[in-house]
Amino acid sequence: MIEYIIRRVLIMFPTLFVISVIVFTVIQLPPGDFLTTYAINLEQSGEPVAMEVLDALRERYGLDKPMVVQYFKWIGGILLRGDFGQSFGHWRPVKDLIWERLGLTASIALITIVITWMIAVPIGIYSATHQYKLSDYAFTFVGYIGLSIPAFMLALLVMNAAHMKFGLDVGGLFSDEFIDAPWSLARVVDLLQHIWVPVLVLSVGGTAGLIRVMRANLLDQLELPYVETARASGLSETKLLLKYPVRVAINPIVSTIGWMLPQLFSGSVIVAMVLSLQTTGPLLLRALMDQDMHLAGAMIMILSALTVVGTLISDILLAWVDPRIRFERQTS
Amino acid sequence: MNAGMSIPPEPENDGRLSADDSMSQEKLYLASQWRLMWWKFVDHRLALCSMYLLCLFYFVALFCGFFAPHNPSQRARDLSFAPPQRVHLVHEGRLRGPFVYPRIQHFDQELALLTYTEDRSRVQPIRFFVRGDTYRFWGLVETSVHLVGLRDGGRLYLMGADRLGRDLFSRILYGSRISLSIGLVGVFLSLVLGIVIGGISGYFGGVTDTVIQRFIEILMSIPSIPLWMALAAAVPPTWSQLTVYFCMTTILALIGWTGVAREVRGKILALREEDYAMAARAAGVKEFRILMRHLVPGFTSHLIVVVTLAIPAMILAETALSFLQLGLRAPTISWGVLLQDAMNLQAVNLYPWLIWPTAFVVFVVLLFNFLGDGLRDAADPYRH
Amino acid sequence: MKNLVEIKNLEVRFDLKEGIVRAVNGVSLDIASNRTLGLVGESGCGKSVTARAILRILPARGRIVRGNVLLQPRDEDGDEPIDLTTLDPQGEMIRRIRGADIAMVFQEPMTSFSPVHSVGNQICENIRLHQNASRKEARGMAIDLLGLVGVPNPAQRIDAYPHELSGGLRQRCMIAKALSCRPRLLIADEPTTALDVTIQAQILELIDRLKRDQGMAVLMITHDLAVIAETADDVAVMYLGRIVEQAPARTLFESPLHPYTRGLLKSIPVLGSGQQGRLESIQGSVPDPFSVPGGCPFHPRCPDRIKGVCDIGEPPELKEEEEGRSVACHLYGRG
Repeated sequence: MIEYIIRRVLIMFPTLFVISVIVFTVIQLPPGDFLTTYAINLEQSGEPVAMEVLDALRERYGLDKPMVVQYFKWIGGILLRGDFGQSFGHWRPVKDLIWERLGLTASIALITIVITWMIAVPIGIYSATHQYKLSDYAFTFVGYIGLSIPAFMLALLVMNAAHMKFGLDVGGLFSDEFIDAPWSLARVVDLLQHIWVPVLVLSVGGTAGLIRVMRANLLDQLELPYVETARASGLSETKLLLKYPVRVAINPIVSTIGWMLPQLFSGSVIVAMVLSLQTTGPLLLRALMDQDMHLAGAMIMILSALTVVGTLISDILLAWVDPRIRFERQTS
Repeated sequence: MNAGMSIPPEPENDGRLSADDSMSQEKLYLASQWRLMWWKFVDHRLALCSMYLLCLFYFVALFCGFFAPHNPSQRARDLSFAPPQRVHLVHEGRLRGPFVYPRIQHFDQELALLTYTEDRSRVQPIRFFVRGDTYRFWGLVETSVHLVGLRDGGRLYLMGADRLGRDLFSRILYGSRISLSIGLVGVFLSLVLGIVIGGISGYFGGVTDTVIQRFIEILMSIPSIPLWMALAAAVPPTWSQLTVYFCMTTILALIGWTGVAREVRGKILALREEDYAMAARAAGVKEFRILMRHLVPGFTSHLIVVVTLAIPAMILAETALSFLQLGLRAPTISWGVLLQDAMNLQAVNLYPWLIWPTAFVVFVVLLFNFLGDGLRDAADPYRH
Repeated sequence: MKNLVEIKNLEVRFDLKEGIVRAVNGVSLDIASNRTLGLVGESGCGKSVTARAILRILPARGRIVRGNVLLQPRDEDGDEPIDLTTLDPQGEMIRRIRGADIAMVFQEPMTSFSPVHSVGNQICENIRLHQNASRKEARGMAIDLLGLVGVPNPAQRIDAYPHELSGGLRQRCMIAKALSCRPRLLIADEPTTALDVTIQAQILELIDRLKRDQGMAVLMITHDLAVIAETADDVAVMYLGRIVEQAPARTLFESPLHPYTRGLLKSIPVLGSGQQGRLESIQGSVPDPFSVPGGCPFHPRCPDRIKGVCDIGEPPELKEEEEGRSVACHLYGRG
């Protein structure tokens, strides 16, 4: 097992290298660079453009150099100094920008995952054990709708509904007076009053999906002979269900935890835009539109790295909860 | 299934299966896979209904010029943010067939808003096959016949108007042309990519296979939404509508093909181990021929399912990107572009009909999900 | 001596979309302690359903519509026998009987154990469900049981997962689990079908030895007459949900009465018997369970059918033909 983990960790490095090349290429795709756009904008607004400043910046980030050089400068900074470069749009280090928004982003994602699980797993179990009953059909139908409404549209609808019905502005994560206030109990309460909207919006799709997976997995398990064996030994139906088929059915789902977090990070980008949350999502969108390449590159890179690590965690988890896979990996 | 439903034979007739019965049983055994799939699929009412409705949607999208009452870009200043018109049947106690009342625009001084009231004295009957705005039928024939409309150039706004007084219903219908086709074209492209690359990977195996699989793994590790956004942001805004459209489909396909490729490869590898493939090989049939003869029929049904379930994802991706102003931009009309108007809370509050495009997107995606699930059940006809 | 379990006129139906299946149609069986009753028949004849009906673990769509399953109470203090068919299939009463008084060994040893729990865990569970034992005590008992059924290194194997064991070992573990509470009736549903022939003999021998040691009754369900010949004291032959012949094993093999039993016996190759030519087989195949033929259900395949008798009216009843043997066939008892 340990050998397997070491091998997987070693593979991660070349993987991340190739990803970094792809990401860098993609963010370099638009013609021109940020400074060109910046200069044009300044010119249009009639302000004088300090060419020397621009040239100095260009040189500092190697924007006048060939792509390969720029790439190594960029990746070298990240690897050697943990320096993700400077955001052109904000005139601040990328690291600080991301760091200050990371906490909120992660909390929203984590709460969403917890809520999704708490709702979806019991409903999935209920649906599978009541297959073809009215309640099962009802949950399935609601699930279909949940799957078909993209989160950002749901965000729009919720926001409009809240506004129209209650005159509430549910956008953002804080009321105006708390946006720049230091952390305090009142600010936390204010945050909790706002955070339910993105959490609700983000968990709907995931919950609907998870219910389906849980239901299907469990239905497969319920048909297997070991359930009958357990029943024949006198176990009560509830204990039997929870100890055997649910345990087996939930294994593949438990292992999704690893990449659920990065997936939610990227999935929440558009929702965060709609709800104008102070998370990393709108930051990424702005960066992409402004060709703020260091910021955009760093964010996509971090998300990819999270996904790679998450996948590894998932695989290890799966081996941990399922002895069959553990066995397979030991012998292979 | 037919055999199962049959009435038990009467005791007199020797107790054997009746001729009719054994015929139907034989039919079941000999039925081609497609036939079986179709039977199973037809059993699935919801999926069948969804399929018909989707066909209807695509049909309307194909002939949107005819089905839309108006030219989607035709502005009408006197109808800025006009609400949806109510279709009436009875005028002053008399049945008059479907008709609408003309609207009168007011300016509300207090709210500083344009408001509309119905002029209850005049009746504008809704007519079928009326002449209205001219449009080019597939860019070829110029005509002005619309399915429904009002006579004498009256403007029938079933879903209200946007800021420029354009008919939202017509815009949605024209938007479906792009939004619905982008799913199909994108899926088709990713299918081609996936089959070719996955096929190469599975067929040649060895180093080729390892390299391709590694590459797919890497591509899958980059979260798709940010990657989509980054690629879409790279499309210069100066390009023509058509070029942007193709860029968008290509971008969607570039990220979508990996799943198909994995499936194709997996299937080829699995097929190699099958006994019948071994038998064919022993009989001297060429490898490629084995694949073509056995893989293609066995796999097509599976691919159809994968594709059906991938289309809604593509439609949603287009909608989301256009909504974020990263994809298609006005004057192109797509559902995502139309949704940009819904982003403005203030506007939606006053003019709630602006979120109509959402309903269309959700409905179509729902239909595709129903259809895909029905197909998935049907693709496995011997199960259950 | 009273019989341990008496099945009286049991009828089980399945309500399926395609129609109603009478999987068990008026079956009566007596199962006595310290004896093995073999229940034999082709697949789909209702023998497994009978077994599941005893334990009340029928699939969701199956239900008992008629009949009784009477179990003698454990303490001989004159209690009335318990009718298992009247119990709530999920209730406390039947659950106390399952795994304790009546235990079952299933056909597929691979999938009959949960793949993500060790076999020891699953054996201990059975022990702790019915006996007052601590975790540690249960573990000790489980190790003893594994030793009893011939698992080598029981103290280590107890922590093994099913996929780490061979088919034979898994079936031994299954038997250990079934025996863990000293059941009075062991139902073995095709216990050797999924195993190699050499292992088969070992497992059957094990069951036979345990039966003698513990004095329990065994209901041996199989489609394999060789298994019956090796283990059974009495045999009941089932066809399409009915018992067509019942007799002591020796008698049945020496002089089968029912044409179906004769057909079954003829289709077994006998080495050195100087048989000439091809093996005989029963003509035709088992009919569709949704459309069971009228008259005697076996008549379309029967070589000795009497026209105008076998193909009309009610199916023949099971009647005692000689001392201790009964047959359901129009060929007998007609004067």
